[in-house]
Amino acid sequence: MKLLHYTSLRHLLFASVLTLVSIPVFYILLNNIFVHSIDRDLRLQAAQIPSILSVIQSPSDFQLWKELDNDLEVVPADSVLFHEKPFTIKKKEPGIAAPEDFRILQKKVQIMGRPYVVNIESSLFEKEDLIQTILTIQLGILLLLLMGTVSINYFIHKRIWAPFYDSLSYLKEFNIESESKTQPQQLKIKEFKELSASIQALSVSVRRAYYSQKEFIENASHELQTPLTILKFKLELLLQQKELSSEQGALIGDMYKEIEQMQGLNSSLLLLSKIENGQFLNEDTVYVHRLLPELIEGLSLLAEAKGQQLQFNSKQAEVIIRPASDMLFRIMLTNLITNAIQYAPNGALIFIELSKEQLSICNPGQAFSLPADKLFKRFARQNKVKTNGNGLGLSIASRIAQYHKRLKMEIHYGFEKGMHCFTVCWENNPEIS
Amino acid sequence: MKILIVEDEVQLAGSIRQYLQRENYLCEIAEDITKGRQMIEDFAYDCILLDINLPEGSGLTLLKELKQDKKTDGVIIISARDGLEDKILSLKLGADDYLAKPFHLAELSARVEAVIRRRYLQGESKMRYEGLEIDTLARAASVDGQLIQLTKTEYELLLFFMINKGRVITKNAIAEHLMGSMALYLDNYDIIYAHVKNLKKKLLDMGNSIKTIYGTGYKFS
Repeated sequence: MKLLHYTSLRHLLFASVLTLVSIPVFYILLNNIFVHSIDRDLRLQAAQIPSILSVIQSPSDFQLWKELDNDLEVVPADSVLFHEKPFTIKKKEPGIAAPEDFRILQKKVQIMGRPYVVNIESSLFEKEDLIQTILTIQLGILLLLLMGTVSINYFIHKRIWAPFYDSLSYLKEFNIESESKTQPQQLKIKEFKELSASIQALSVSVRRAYYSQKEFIENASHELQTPLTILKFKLELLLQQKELSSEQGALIGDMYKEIEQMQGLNSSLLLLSKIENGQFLNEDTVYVHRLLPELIEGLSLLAEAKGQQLQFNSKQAEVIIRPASDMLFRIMLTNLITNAIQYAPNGALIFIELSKEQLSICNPGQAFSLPADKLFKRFARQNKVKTNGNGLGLSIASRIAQYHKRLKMEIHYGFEKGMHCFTVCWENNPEIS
Repeated sequence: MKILIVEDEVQLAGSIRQYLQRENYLCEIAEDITKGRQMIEDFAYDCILLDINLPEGSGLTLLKELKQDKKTDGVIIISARDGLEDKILSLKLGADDYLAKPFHLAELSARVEAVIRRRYLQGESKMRYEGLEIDTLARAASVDGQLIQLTKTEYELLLFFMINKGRVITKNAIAEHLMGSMALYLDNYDIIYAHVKNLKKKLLDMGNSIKTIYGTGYKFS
């Protein structure tokens, strides 16, 4: 639920409840007031009756009075039930279809020595009309009020929360690697000023930490390079010693191999941080159809070592992509093919298939227990099996694909019919190429 | 043969000198650009190993000066940066070869040998050692005048052995020479072993010239 809707809804709810409650309350109140005033009129009328009665001397006078005064009804006292207070009844008037409400006040009188009850009545017809009109007006005003408050609230909130939404979109678009283009606005409200300032400060410090970490990785790898090389050189020199026993030789050989691994890891880390720092030009034209046979040739010895065969098949005579980084593209394909060689069993056939906008590398093998999205994470290894790779190959490949943003390059992984398939997809942009 | 090593890492330069000196190379070391410049002016070298990252600046400036003075010393650029741009720039400026750290000393020695051969033994494309002759132009080898049939890998292997003769070459160095950085992914060196075994068979006429040094590598002598 949006913030704006949240507050607006509450306002709407309050206004609706107020309206709904006010209608019956108003009705009852108005009704009471009206009936009260009619009752007072009736009492005034009743108060005049004694003065009229004093004039009545004969039955004919009495008859005349009854006929003249329509609001009065004089009945013998014993024929009706006497009410002390005014009361309302429904009565059907001649000539009018629906029965109407009448208010009646009864008064006991003595006419010519006989007890009578005078019913003074007043129609409530006008009252209904009046209450209806008043209620309609009231309802209208309330509705207007409701609409007014809700919409005013809506617009005010919209304005008040604008800086909040600005901050929100700033955070949404926040990319640690690129500076944001949005400039912070001058804000009036203190809380939002503070919020905006805190976000700015946070993003600056996060970015600084990120860059210093990246810089650290690059510097550390770089600094490690020389001592590792020296160490390797010394071992190579040590091996030349004539009086070396075979055990000593074997020990040196083992050390040598470990140093090689370390150097491989080191240069992979360096490469990764260079890619992440965007230190590669991305403007080359890559002739994929020519590049692949060259890479496969270079890797054939590695495949041969496991008795495997690399089978290359191109559906397209020419596959040219640009703008790309030739060096990175090579590294990516090499990593993917090397990965296939590594994880395919001995003697397997590895299929490399190239078409206009995709390249797939498939090798047979057991299903992975590793989730597909974790495959491209650094040092994510299948079943924690130690292999000769340094666990960075696929991570580097995926970073390289992301590096070719303009080609919308992506790497997908799938496992089907006992084959692991890595597919590199891209989009050729006819405007650029 | 005289070789100049322009490298600020003393340990690194020392190791290179120690390795190369066994091969009748006279090695001198310059730790910085100024000293390097002076030595290049005073002496002629057959090959100069030039590090790019030097305390006073880029080793490439030295390369530019060298080419401006029309000196013919062979130059191999050594760089800690494994960047294609550096490599292209170095070769454009007239360097004979480019080697990115980390490398094997055996590899370096092969590169130095190749540069010297290209520069100073022009027309002479043949290398000889006892009865073995390698024609680097025709990419062929013969023992006592008898041509031996070699696969591409075996030829590369033999050339590598020849250049590093008398030294122990690790299997890693061989693997890396043959397949570059992909050598890291080898589970074992059986493939190297298989190729060396085949090569040995073909060189039987030379006697047991390739010796297996247990656990480490091979030695050709």
